[in-house]
Amino acid sequence: MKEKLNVGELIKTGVILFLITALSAALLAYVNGFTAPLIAKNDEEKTQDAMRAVLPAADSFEKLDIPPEVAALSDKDEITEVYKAKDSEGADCGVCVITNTSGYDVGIVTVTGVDADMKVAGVEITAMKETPGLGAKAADSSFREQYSGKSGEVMVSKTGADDTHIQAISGATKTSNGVTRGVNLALKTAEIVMEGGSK
Amino acid sequence: MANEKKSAGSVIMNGILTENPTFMQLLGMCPTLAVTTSLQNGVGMGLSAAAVLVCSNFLISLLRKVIPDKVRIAAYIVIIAAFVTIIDMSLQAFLPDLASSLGLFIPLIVVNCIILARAEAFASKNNPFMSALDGVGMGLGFTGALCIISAIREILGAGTIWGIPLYGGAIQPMGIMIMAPGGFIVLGLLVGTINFIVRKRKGE
Amino acid sequence: MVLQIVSIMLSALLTENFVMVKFYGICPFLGVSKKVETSIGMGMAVTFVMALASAFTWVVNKALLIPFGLDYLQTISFILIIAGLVQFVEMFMKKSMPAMYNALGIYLPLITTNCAVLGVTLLNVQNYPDNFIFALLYGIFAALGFTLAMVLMAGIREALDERAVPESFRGFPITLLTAGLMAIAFMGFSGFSIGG
Repeated sequence: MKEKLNVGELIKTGVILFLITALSAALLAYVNGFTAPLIAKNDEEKTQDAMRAVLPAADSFEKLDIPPEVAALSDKDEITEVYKAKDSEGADCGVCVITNTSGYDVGIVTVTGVDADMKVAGVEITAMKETPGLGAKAADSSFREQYSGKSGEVMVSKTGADDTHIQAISGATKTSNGVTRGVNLALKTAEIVMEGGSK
Repeated sequence: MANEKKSAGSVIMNGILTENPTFMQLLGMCPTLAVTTSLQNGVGMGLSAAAVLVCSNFLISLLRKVIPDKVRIAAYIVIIAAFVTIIDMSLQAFLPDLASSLGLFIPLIVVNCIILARAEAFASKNNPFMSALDGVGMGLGFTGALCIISAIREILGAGTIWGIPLYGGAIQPMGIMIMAPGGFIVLGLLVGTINFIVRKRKGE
Repeated sequence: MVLQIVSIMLSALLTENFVMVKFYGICPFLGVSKKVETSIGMGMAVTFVMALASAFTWVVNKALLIPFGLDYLQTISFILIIAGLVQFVEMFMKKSMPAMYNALGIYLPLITTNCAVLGVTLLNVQNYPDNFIFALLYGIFAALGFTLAMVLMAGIREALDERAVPESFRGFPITLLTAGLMAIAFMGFSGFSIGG
């Protein structure tokens, strides 16, 4: 096979394949040129919407550099972004923390709003790959609202909710644990950030 | 002219019915099973794949005399991957919700056997116009099949259709239908039933 | 660290089994699972390709695509790498294991279009962009999970051949229904949890 292939043909084949690849790459670069900003804007809007939903009192959000004490909390579960919330008069009214934890699958992105009293104001889930009909129920408001008003450390219970416990989604304890770990990380982060702010 | 019209129509019908990629040729099974948890996902996946199929069939047919035979598969894959990436980026930019619920299965359209199979079996042998039509037919056939499967799974598994609740909480839906086993079972029963109908028509 | 590695291995193999839970690689799973022997061969070929592909694509992503802001070329470059690797494995098998080469026949080039392979490389850059070892392990164990599902299926199909399945349901339909029951069994693993 190889002996029969003459050099001219080989070069021609190579050049054509290279041209097709190069043209494809160029086309993609062109399309990416105008979709990339739109995608970034979508993501940004999604985060902003979620933060407004979890901290309705807030008017604007200021992105903070993650302090080293907070970064040290990240392990398998990660704190990806921290925002300080300001109300319409410019006073601090809480903290929004975005965490990335794993439940049944990796990648539960939770936005937790913590108010100035160190209580959870609201929880939104902006991305996850949990099982539809089971873990994906974590996005339902009935599950998320359980976190509101909790402080300190939230725990998961299979039997019923109380002051410190939330009721796990039946059949999806891992997802419930994953979201709860995100909320707890947010509470710890808020504590560090707010103490730092009052000093 | 009349002759060409007839064959154009038959090329499209061929994809939708006689050689339906899902039920008759059993191609592209991964997205067929994975994303058909709701009708919206099924339609989104079907149309995305159809768009790629039409574009890639057209371009491959246009270039069929230029592409050297030895590297044709590689060339097809590059062309298909380029279109898939364009669709992927456009969905993320304009329909972010759909993009996130279809997830990895959008880039995985690249390896959807239907697309490569049509490039090899049809586009490499026919003119661009016919190839585009073949893409439309196959794409609609695929979309139709996904709609049937996903409608069944959504109605049984989530008790909704296109996200609208059907029986107002009176009946607890069978959650297993939108999980992995449900996909296999629904598709198995559908293909079996279609085999049965086809055999009845041919035989008795 | 050790815990995390064990968790990656078990989840790739069982709880997030590529075929039974995540629906990657269904075409070869349905196509090649007629005999246990060919299933093992196919599984090994896929494992080999997937391990190499995980390593190569991770390096390409980390060293070329990310630094130059070209991550939108991931899909296209990964599929080219995979196609090249499959070609290589095919040539290697033809020379040194001709019997296996003949048995796997047309399915070998089809590894290129096995969405499990492209899927694992894309998942790796999403989940483990900074950890080569995790990415490689995930690739290998996801492929072993694929092999496991396929070999189990082949075992059932060999026995199924002798049963009186209704004519219309022979072949694919009964295979799909069997796969459905297997998937229910695999759901049992979902209770597994390591290190929370």
